[in-house]
Amino acid sequence: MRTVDSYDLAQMYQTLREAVAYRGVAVIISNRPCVLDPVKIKGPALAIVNELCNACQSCMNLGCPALTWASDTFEGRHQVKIDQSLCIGCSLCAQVCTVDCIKPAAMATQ
Amino acid sequence: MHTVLQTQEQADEQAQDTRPLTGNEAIARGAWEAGVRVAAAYPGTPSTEILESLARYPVEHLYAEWSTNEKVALDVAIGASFAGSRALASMKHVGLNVAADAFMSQAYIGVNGGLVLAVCDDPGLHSSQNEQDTRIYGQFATVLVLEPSDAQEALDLTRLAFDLSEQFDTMVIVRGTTRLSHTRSRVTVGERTEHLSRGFVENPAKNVMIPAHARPRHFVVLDREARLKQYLETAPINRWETGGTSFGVVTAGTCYPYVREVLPNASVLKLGASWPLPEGLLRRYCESVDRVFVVEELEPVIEKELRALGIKAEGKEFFPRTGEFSPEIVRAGFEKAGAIEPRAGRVSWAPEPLARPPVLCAGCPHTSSFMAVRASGARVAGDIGCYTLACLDPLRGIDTMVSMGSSIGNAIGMAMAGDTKPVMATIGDSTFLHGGIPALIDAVYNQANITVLLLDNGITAMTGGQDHPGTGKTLRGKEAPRSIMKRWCAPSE
Amino acid sequence: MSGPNPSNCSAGGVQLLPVAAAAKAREPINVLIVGVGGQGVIMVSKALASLAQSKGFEVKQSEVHGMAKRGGTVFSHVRFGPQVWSPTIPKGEADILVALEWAEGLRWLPFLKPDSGIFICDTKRIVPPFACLDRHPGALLRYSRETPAEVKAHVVEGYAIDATRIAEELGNVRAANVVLIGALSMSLDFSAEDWEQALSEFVPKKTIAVNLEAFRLGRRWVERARTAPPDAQPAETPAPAYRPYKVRLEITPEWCKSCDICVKLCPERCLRLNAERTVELTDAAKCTGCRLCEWLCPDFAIRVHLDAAEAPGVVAAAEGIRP
Repeated sequence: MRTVDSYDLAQMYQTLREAVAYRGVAVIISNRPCVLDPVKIKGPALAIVNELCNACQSCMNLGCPALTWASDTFEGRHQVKIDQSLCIGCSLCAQVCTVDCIKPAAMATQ
Repeated sequence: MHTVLQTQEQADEQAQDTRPLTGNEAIARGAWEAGVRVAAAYPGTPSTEILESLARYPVEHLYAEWSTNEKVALDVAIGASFAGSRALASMKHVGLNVAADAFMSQAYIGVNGGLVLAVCDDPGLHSSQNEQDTRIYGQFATVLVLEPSDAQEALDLTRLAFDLSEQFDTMVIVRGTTRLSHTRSRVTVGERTEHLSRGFVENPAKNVMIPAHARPRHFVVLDREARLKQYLETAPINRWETGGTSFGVVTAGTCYPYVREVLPNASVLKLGASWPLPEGLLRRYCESVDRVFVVEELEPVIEKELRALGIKAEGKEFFPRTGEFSPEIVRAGFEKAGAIEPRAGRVSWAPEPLARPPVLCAGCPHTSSFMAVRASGARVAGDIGCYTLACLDPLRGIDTMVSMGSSIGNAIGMAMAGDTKPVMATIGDSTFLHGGIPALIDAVYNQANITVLLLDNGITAMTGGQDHPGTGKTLRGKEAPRSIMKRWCAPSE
Repeated sequence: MSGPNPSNCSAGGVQLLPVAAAAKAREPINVLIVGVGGQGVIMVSKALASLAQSKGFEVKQSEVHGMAKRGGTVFSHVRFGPQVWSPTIPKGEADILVALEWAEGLRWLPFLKPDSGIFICDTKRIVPPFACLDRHPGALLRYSRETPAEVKAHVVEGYAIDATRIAEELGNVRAANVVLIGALSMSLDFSAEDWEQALSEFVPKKTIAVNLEAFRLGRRWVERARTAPPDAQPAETPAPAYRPYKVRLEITPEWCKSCDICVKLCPERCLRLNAERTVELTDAAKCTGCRLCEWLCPDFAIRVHLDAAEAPGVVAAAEGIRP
């Protein structure tokens, strides 16, 4: 039995791999609260540094509603932009980004 | 400019205490007015707001709780009825499956304090896994089923249900549907009538269902059904509204306004109780018209009963057995049957609609869980909650979903059957407490080789954020001992 | 119902105009309010229902909860009149359709009365993640392509308002639904004062001032649109141009150590480990050349080549053809 932080993707991968390898009943508890209830959670939003985004759309794998296509493209594929009003800053997209181009909004615009 | 005239009777009505209520709020109000003293439920769309509304009435009037599951909720209500108080349990249609064990036995026992079960069906599956028809449960257990057609009736029939429950010594189902639950209309409300506890009545032959006691009780149940039928022959909750004689419509519940929308002047027998059915009244009504149509959502319960009486009733031939009804569907049925003239199509330009399935919220903690689940390459038994949405692209992380708490049991079965992939169960905190714990005990007991991913987001999120034993708060927002997830899952000695 | 006539309702009390025959007067007014979860559809319908109710009408307001909170479609039927039966509006029977989001407005168009229905729609676009699930170069957004001009040509009376921008300029983007209430109020026979009173009860206390301002802007927008139709909407942005290419995966089996990372994370799920436990492409048609495997491989065992293809890219993109 293990408890993991839902917003730590690497830990999540690691723990799940160990649990699958374990013979017998393995229980993993992911422990982050719901973002809607009982309190609406909203942290500082993240943003994408356009010049760096290579349009791999790895982040789109999350199915996050704050992520949509930007108007610019890279090799013909759509780059991604983050809707600042929806993003709560969970950083999952930044964790999967292959070129590390997702930053806190203040840093991204510099 | 859209202008509508105001009529005199409308102005008069405003003198009474009327207020806009949803069907769920009206059921709660009806129960409160009837003097309900104990109410329990497990949240489930579309029934959730019944208990939420009841919890807004004064704490000295009634005790209201979120139970861990529907069976517990019904057992709590049955207990309160044993103790002599009026009690209510509310749940969605599939919740009654969970409570069915207690429900079927209670039908033999009958009541001390009035006992009402508010069950909300979900025709059209707005947010459910099936569209079963609760009226069949009423038939199954031989208990009275009342079916309101709007919020006013929801209040009136719920109030009446408590009286009938005590009068006929039976639990009573008030059956709603999503459309009733979530439609707001004007309701004339009344005052609360206190019903003090009658006190526990010691009577093992009625209260303890061992075979020797249950055998004679079955006769009592059948006799009760006969008395209920007798009562319904003349009860004012059934309304015979006269009209033309070329055809008549037998209907109940939320179908009634659709019928009236399409046929404002037709002859209609509007049943307030959809089980049991009054034979004499039905025969007399059906003789008054040339053709009889039954308009009922989901299963042909009334239609079959009419046919059993030898009456040539028409129904499911023209009105579907699946999905939610609408005025269009009812109109199309009557047009197909040749009862009314087909009307010219009223559909304008229709661009192709955009697919917009519901999605997990931005920052939802389930997102990362299912990214990891996907990477683990496991076979995944899912469960009920927001995370069921992860079965869709792009997460596509769930292979099966059956019912509340099924995931762990399903996973044990898959593992024991030798699935080629490692087997995993994903289950939310509220679902785990609802029905997952016995299965987890089973998994440990039988040493199943599975991984259980418990998605603890600290709330019952899917139904809009209700508290549960793991949140440390009760329905009325009071502090409560917190059930810690970790403790449930700690290794046994 | 007569045609648009702003002077009737710009100020003053309710005008009780008789409508056609007496029998006709028993028909309710049907207003369908639609949008996406979280936009405030229910608030709009509650305000309207409460106002109609305070005027003594029978009102039925029907909505469906459940999945709505999670970015799904939300709709609310409001019917009011001397007598209302069905809680839902039949297809082709809505007098007014108020949409808080563009594609949702289009979805519900068939509910409008074809001969007299009024269409009031925010041009705000909320693109669901589902619409962006395509990594092919030059992929088209799976979102409604009809332009406001096209839609207006199909309805008797239509208003495509950039209500969200108006609300943003007011400093509270959440007031967009109230801008639309303002527009709606121009087509119903309740006075502006009554509306403002009803609104004050339904918006948070702190935001009453900004919401009333939003309401007035919505009214003014429609007033202006009725006298002088606004200029044509800006044309939709064309699909991106790109240089067409064919994808070729170059795999060096000797370097692959079967770590499975590329297989697990390929967004199109078109890679697998073969019998020798080295990576291979299972379905070349699915591969979009996103390079994720190349970038993620710790051993440089995969290289993605985008070889030039013949078709002229601009044409292909405009027609939505994939290389």
